[in-house]
Amino acid sequence: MSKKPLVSLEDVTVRFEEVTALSDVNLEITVGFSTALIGPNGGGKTTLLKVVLGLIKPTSGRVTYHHLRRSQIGYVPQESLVNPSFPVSALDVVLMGRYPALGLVKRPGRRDRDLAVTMLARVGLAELAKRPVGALSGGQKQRVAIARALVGEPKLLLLDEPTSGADVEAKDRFYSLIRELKKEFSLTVLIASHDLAVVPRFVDDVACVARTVHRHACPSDVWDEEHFQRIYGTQMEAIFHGKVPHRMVEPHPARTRNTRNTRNTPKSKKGKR
Amino acid sequence: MFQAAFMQRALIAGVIASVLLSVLGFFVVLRKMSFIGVGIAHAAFGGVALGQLLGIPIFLSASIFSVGAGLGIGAVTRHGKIREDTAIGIFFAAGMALGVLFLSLKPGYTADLMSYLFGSILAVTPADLWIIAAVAVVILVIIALFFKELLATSFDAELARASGIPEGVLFYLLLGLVSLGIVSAIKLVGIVLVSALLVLPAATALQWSERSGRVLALSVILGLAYTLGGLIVSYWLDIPSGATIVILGTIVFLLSLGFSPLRRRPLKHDITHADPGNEVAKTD
Repeated sequence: MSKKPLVSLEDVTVRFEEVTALSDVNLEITVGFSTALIGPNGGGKTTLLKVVLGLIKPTSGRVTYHHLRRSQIGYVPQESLVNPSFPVSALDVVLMGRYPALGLVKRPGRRDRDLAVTMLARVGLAELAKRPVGALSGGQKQRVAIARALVGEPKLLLLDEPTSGADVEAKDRFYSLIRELKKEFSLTVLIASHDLAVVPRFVDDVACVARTVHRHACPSDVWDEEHFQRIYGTQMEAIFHGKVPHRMVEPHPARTRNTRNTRNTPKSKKGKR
Repeated sequence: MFQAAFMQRALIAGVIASVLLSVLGFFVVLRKMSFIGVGIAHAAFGGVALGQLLGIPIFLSASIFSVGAGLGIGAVTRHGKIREDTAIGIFFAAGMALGVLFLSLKPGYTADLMSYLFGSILAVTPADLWIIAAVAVVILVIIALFFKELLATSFDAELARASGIPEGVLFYLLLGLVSLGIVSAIKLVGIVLVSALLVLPAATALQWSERSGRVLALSVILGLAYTLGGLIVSYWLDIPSGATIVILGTIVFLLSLGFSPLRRRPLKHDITHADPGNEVAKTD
């Protein structure tokens, strides 16, 4: 796979009033790669996703999109379909994913409907097309949200903590599905998660987000205690059951103020995208 | 009873206003901002009083106040650090206070003030009818054009915004339309009661269906039934029309709540057995 960038973040800093959510983030999202953004809660993973989405404008720094329109980014938020009493069916929700491609005013047609049915079937929910969203389980809602994202024919798929609350087995199935979908639709995937145990096994690349970003090429060395401490900022212990077969990542470079991505450090420039 | 010209006007105005408010109320209730109608309507009181004081068209002055309040509540909630209920409470009181102030400046008795506060079928003039009709056509056309976007942003504002739908514009557009819709119905049901006509039809319809199309259609039918039924009953019994409409709607709502098929849903949508959604999608 040649490494063409899809989205590049250069020295991106995001401040909310006093709080710095992200500081000098440099990250290149490579075409065709799946990347896990791993880090503690409150470490800025969601903020980073929203910067890529364009929902949050960086306080400073630059986000560059390479042949990528905003409507080509599919987004699965942490809490999907949070409005359970809303009178729409699973299929209606998936169809909403076609709206941006349709543009204002225009109504969805036969092709949009067919595509929505196909995607719902692809995530295994064909039989629940007519079920009201309020009657879906958490995992089903999550997959409806994925079908909704896919129906917009995205190039980039962003998932925010997609399996929080699920058990390990469900997580495995979920990420297997994502991996299949990635291949099938030639997606680039970015997954934010604090789940160290499962996610890294399903992705090509891991980036640690704790206000800033450390990039790892996967797989490699070891998550040691010191490593956890650096990322999570507290004394932590990793407990593994059975063997330790999980994909591991190499240690971060020494923590200096301007810790950068080890490869291709871009020139620092302020400016808007 | 339909021979009298005022009664004909009241019925036509009632039909238009109830269709309009039912459609607007569909979005308002789904967005869980039912209380905003109360704030907008009461803020309009300041405009009504100002119109009487200055002798300018009351629809115009009331519209300025209500649209200002509607957009103001939206803006303060969205960009400020103030909760929506707080914002509504403030705009509500400020509008009423200005109304009282303007009235105190006007010498003499303000004749049809009561008809604005509590509504009166006698108060609907031919000019009012034309205004209501024009406002309704404009609002319903705009809603028809942007229906899918309004639905998507009402369902999940952030997801809609993330996918590039101009969610902010649509939010303010809806508030503006709701404000105008409320003003056009004030004469019929009154400032105090108009928000009920916004909320009751959709709230009742939601007890009966989980499909947006059906909920919307049922809202309109219920809104029409409340208004027409209320007008006729009030005419026969010689009681205030606005109050009759709202009481009728409330009774139907309470009955719906009691008999709602959706309240007994857990059995119907049992997800414990043979649930295809719990299986992993097949690999190709």
